[in-house]
Amino acid sequence: MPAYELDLLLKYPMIMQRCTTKDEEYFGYIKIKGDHFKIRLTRNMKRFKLEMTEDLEKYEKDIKKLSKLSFMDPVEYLDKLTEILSAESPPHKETDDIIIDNTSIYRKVLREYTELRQFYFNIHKSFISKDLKTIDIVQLDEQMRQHSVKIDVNYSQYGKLFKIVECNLPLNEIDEDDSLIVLYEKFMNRVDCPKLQLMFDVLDEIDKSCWVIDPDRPTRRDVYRRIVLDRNLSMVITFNPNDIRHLPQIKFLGPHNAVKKYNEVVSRNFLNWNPNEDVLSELVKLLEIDNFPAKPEHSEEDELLVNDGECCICFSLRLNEQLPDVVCPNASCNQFFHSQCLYKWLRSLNSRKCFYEINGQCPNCEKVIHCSLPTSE
Amino acid sequence: MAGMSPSERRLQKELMSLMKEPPPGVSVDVDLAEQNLLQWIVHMEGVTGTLYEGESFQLQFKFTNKYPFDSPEVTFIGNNIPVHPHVYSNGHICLSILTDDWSPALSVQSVCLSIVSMLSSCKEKKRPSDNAFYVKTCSKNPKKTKWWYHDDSV
Repeated sequence: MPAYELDLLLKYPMIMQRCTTKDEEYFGYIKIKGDHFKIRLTRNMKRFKLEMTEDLEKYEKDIKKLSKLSFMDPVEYLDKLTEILSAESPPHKETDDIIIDNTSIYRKVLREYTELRQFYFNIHKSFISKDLKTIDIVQLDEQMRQHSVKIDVNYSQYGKLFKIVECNLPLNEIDEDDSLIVLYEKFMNRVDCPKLQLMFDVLDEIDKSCWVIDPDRPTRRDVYRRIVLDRNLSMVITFNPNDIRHLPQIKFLGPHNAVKKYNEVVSRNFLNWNPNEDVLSELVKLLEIDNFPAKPEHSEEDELLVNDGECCICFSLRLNEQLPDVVCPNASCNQFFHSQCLYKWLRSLNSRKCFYEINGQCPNCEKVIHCSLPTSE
Repeated sequence: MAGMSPSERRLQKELMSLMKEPPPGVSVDVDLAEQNLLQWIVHMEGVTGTLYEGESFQLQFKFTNKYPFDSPEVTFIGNNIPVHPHVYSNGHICLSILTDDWSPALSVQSVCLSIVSMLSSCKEKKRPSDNAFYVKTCSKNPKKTKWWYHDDSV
C-alpha cells in the first residue's frame, strides 16, 4: 500500500480512490471552512487534472496552474488545492451541523428491548422500528384477548426514556419510565386489573349475543355499544370502566313514541338494578324484553335504496364514522338523518337558527324538524 | 365503496338500485353512468293506456358534486321530445321538484316516477303556450329558469 494512502484517509476522509486500467481517480468531497467542495480528480503519472464544477469556477485560474505542476501523490495535490481554496474562500459563517451522538441511547434502548424479550419470553408479538424510535407490543391476557401498546423512545435527553403513546385500553393514562420492563409491567397490570377484565367479559358477551351496529369493529378501548332493539330502534349503552356493575348510561334512538315508551320502562325499573347479577340479564330485566334480537344473516341482495336506520339524505349508515342521530318527530315519517347532512340541508334553505339548534322542514315529510348544530362545524 | 365522497356513494347506490329494480318502463344506461357518475341517460317508455303509449323517450340527468343538496339537471334529449303542456320542445321540463321543491330525500327514482306520472296524466298532447318564446330566450340549463308553475292538474 503506497505511503500516501493512509495520509489521504486521515486528511481527506471523504475522498475515495478508484483505479481503472488507464488511470487513477479520486472523488468525493473536501471541506474547507464549513463549505463542502465536490472533487473529481484524475491522475496521469505525476499530473493531476481536476474536473471543474460551479463551486470551483472562482478559482479556475489557480487550478489551471496546478494542472501544469507535477505532484508526487494526490495528498500533495489536495494540500495545494486546500491552500488555494481557503485563501480565496470568504470567511464562512460557522454552520457546522451539530451532530448529536445518540449512540449511547441507542445502545441502552437495544439493551432494554433485548432484556424485555428475554425476561418476558412469552410476549405474543413485539416489534421495534428500524430507527429505534417506536416499540410495538401485543400481549394476551388470561382470556386470550389481545392487547396492544405502542411505546415511543424519547431521544431529547429530557424526561423519561420510554413513553406509552397508544394503547387499546379505556382510560388512557400517559405512562412513562426509564426502564422498558417497568413500563411494560405497568401496562400489563392495567390490563389484568379485575375491573377491566370484568368489563371485557361483559362487552365480549354483548358483542356475542346482541346485534351491535356501532362501533363497527369494537376495540378494547370502546366502552359503548349501540345495540338494535327493534326495526329502526336502537340504544347506546355507555359503561363506566371503573364501575361496570352499576347501571350504565343508556340512550335510545328511534321513533319518538318508541323512545318515550322505553324511557318510561327504564325509569320504572332502574331502581331494581342488581349490581351483583350478570350485567346482560339485568339489562334484559331493565328493558322488560325477552332477549336482545340477534344479528340477522346479512343478505346484500334485497338491499333497498334507503334501508332501516339509514340517513335519508346521504342514503348510507356511516358518514365519517357516525351513525344517523336525528329522527323526524313526525310519527308517520320517522326518517333518520345524520345531523351533519340535515344541518347542511337546512342551512342551505336559510332555515331559522336558534341558539344551538336549527329548525326547518323535514326533507321527507315537510313537517317541522329540529337539528342541533353538528360539533364539527 | 372506500375513497368515495358521500355524494358519489349515494349516486353509486342509486345507480345499483335503479339497475336492479327500475320503475316500470324505466331503464338506465349503466355503462354510460359508470363511466361518468355525474351524467346519466335514462330511457323511458310511454305507459300503455296513455297518450304516449308506444313512444320512447330519453332523459338526461346531470349531477354536481353537491348532489343531493343540489337538485339534478333533468332534460329530455334525443329526437323524440314528448309533446306535453309542461315539456318545452328543447327538452326542458317545468316540474317543481326539479328546482324549488327539490329535497335531498328525493332520488333519481322518484324524479323518474314523477315524470312518468306527469306524462301519464296528460289529456291533450300540446306544447306549452309560451314554447316559441321560451325556447328562443332560455338558458341552456333549465335550473337557471325562473319557473312559473302553471298548474298541478297535468
